[in-house]
Amino acid sequence: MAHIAGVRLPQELWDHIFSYLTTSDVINFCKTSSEYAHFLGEIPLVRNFNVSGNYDFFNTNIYTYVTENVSYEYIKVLNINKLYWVKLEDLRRLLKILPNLEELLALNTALSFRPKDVLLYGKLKTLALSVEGNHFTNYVDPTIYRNNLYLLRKLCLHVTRKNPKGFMGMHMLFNELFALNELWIFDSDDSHSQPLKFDTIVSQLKFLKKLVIKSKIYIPLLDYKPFGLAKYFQTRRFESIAMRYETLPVDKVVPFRHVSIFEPVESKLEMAWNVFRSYRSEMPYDHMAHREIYLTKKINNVNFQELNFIHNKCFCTNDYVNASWDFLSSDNSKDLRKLSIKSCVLQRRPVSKGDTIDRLQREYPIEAIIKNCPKVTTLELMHCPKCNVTIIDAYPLICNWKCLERIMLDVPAYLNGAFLVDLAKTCTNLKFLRISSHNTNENLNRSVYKALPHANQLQDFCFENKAINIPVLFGSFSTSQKLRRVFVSCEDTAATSTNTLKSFLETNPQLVLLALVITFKPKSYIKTVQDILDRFRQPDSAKRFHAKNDIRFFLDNYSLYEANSELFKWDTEVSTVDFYSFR
Amino acid sequence: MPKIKLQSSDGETFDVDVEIAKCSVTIKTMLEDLGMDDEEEEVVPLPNVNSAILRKVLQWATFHKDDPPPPEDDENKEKRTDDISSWDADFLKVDQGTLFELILAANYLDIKGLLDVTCKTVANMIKGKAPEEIRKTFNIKNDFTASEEDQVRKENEWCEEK
Repeated sequence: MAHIAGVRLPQELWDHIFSYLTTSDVINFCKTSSEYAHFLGEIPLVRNFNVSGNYDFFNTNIYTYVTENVSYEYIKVLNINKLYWVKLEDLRRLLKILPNLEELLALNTALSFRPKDVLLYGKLKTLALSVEGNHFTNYVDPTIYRNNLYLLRKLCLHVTRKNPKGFMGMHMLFNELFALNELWIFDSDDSHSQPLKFDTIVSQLKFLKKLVIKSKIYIPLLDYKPFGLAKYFQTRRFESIAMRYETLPVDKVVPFRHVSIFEPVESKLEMAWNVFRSYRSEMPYDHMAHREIYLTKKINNVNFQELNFIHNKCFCTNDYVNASWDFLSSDNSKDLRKLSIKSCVLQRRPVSKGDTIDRLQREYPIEAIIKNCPKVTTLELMHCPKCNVTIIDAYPLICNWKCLERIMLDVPAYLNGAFLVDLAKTCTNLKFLRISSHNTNENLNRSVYKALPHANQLQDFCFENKAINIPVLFGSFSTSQKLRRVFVSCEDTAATSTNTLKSFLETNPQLVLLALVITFKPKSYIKTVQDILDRFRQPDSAKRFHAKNDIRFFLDNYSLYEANSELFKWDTEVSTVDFYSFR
Repeated sequence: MPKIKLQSSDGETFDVDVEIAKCSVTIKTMLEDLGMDDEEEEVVPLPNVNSAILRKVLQWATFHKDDPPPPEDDENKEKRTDDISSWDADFLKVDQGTLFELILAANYLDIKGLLDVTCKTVANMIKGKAPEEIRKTFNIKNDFTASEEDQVRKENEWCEEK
């Protein structure tokens, strides 16, 4: 029996501790010593087998691992989201040996809706898949869906490519899913103008109680009241529109066009809400807050977990900035975890007559915001090109958010980035770092090179700048062997030596993705780099190491792009719909 | 406010408000089943908890006496570990021996709130770490690689002979 610090815990207490962890964490714990190796065989632990995005399965065959280490006959929920490199036959073999599987979450994997795949879904009540149009055919026998998907109640469909070839077949699927209660559908193919026929799909699903739609191409604002579905969440952030519907009492949900739902207005937060509404702006909060506000018509008791102030239009008016401060300084934001914000909201403002804002807030609003929302783990900070004078005060204070794990920074050209060193030193849990600059910013480069050795926990790194010194960059990473994914994009590189790249690859055998885009270097140089990358890729073909002249290579490689999209493109994960949270 | 006496495994007795002691479902049931409410002289023995740990448990229970009952666990939902209050986080800045003893005590005394927060704290010490880091955190000796290596060596020897 396992001892730690001289204390022996019985199995049921370990089970309780592990109930807070994903299977990937438990697997790592089991690897520490032979004394703990048996834990994975414990039934309660394996019922929910969640290895979503576990890069260790680059080196380990998941089918062999599960058959040798896990009481797999008890697995009820299998979450293999983002294991895009695992071969289709291994996944099919795995599904065949799980007699009690009820839920399969397999977004961005090789599994899809091919007839051979569908035969494996006969016992599933919940299913999440990424599909391409050509996985369907227009002449499929509908009975294959009918006979194998009749138990299905919840479906999450991520459409990565809508090839015209199987487009009709994809819609035919829904004819056979008449008992579906919950549907999530994400159209992430923005290259075709043909939209999915949401109306046709919804009209076929008579028992639908919950509907979530996300689309990268324009879709009209759909109204499903005739089907008993009330829309309580709708947002447009960057390229995506997201909507949520439920069978709520329709009359309780206030239409979005109403100017105010709080009568009379009493709190600062209610006033801030009205300012946002008067601009017809996107509301900053997530769907759970949306739901509560529209159902109760009250905002004062809502606990904000996520706030996103970045919108398609740039608002820099005093009204808008003050209203944003009111959101961020209210007690309702004390538990805030994710924040997406434009630099306007953090900048100092001149005093004007009759202004009643607290002096501290005026000078350094970010200090007050950090004090009020200390638990923020995700920060997306976008530079506002209209307010570029005083903002340099704000960036160095970001490091006071000590819990930060994920940071996306859009750095203006006149900022030297010296704050990044403090950021890497103080935010000791920093796992994801994206730095984007769109002008020539040499000083920023130097700061990045100085900061990287201190980022010991960094797993994902992306850096975009006009010119980057590739040899110096790869010589500056921390030696902690935590890095999993690196994306670097520039127009030119100041030096062409490849020694540091070689030693970087030698010392980081755990790396699974390295994507380099250098636009204006000759093809001969790109080939030299690619040859080096290939040398380190060979022993394990699942690893993807690419050097290219054009980012389009990555955007066109659907399975690679969709599973790593947050690396390749600046998009937001705050107050929108996260399809990986489907369950 | 009525009080009762709790006796730790090492013989120390603690005068505790009944309401605070009833945070523990074990003590609550004991009092209700045995009708010990009115017996002022009665001492409740707790043979599985020593005085140092019992003192910590009572400190926790005193601070949390007015908390609403924790919600029932939903097996289908992934549980959070980032919602530990700052008071609890400070309270649990103790050595690992004490932390694991508190888990045992919370389980024995059936105090769900304390059990949850102590288990979350241990879970956070494991979360996102590689096996080698977990070994360092808990001072676990790695006997795994050696035995695995032996296994591989044995298999290879057999191959060589052939």
